[in-house]
Amino acid sequence: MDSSILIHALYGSAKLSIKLILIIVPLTVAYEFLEKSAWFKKLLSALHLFLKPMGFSKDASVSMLVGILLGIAYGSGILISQLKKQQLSHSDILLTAIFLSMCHAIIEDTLVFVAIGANGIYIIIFRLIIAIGLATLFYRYLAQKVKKTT
Amino acid sequence: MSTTVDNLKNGLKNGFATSASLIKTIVPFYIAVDYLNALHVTDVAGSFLSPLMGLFGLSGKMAIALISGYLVNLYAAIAVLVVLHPTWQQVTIVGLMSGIAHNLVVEGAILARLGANPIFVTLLRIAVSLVAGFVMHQMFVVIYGG
Repeated sequence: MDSSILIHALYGSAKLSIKLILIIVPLTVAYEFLEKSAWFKKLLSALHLFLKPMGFSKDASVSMLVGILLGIAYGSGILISQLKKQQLSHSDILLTAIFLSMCHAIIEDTLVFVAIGANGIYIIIFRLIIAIGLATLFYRYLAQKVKKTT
Repeated sequence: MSTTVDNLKNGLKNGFATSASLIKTIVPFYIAVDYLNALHVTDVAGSFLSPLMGLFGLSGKMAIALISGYLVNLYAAIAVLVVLHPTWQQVTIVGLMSGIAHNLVVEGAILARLGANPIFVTLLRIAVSLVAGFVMHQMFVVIYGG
């Protein structure tokens, strides 16, 4: 194999690792302060109003927000640190994975295409509708499965 | 003040532990994808798919942009797309399709780390991206004409 390909790959993964640390560490620190602050519960309740119809619990709301705005790796950063602290339910994890896999980092993802001529409104609306639709579908499916087994 | 110090300590500890576990998940797949890309796997896969591109209102060569997005990331898709002189509708359609499904190997690994089934989620993303691209193309044809 060509060694320059390996060097390119290693250089790229080192850069990616540093970028992950630089974004995730401030996020988890901010989350720690946010979690202890007085208005955290209010923020969660407000977010939860939108996410409840799709079956998300309150605890999943923050990682959803981070994932939608920043990206799946950073959203799951918060999610993994939440998983360590408190048990998120299995359906929270599945629903978050479904929603975020369809719709994440919508600001950055959309802007890079707008930069070369795309209509960003169409992209955002389509992705949000798809993500909300699929998460709702899976939530209904999960709820039915639970009903059958109990 | 002690809570501030505690928050800082916990946040840093959590952040580094989480970063480390994500990096361990991502790096092997990142290197594998970078290798495949350097070996021009995307070009070969793209040429197979080019006859289907009419379904999405795209030209045959834009298949390579889609595959690059699926396998690598949006920047790879854009790099290919931009030299093909796409219309704004084509850019929007590729933006939607690769927005839904991109960087599938690395993000699949992250989703697996969270406990989701990566094969299921990946197939779902590809299927949804194809359907969404088709629907958006039809919509553009109706609104703006072919």
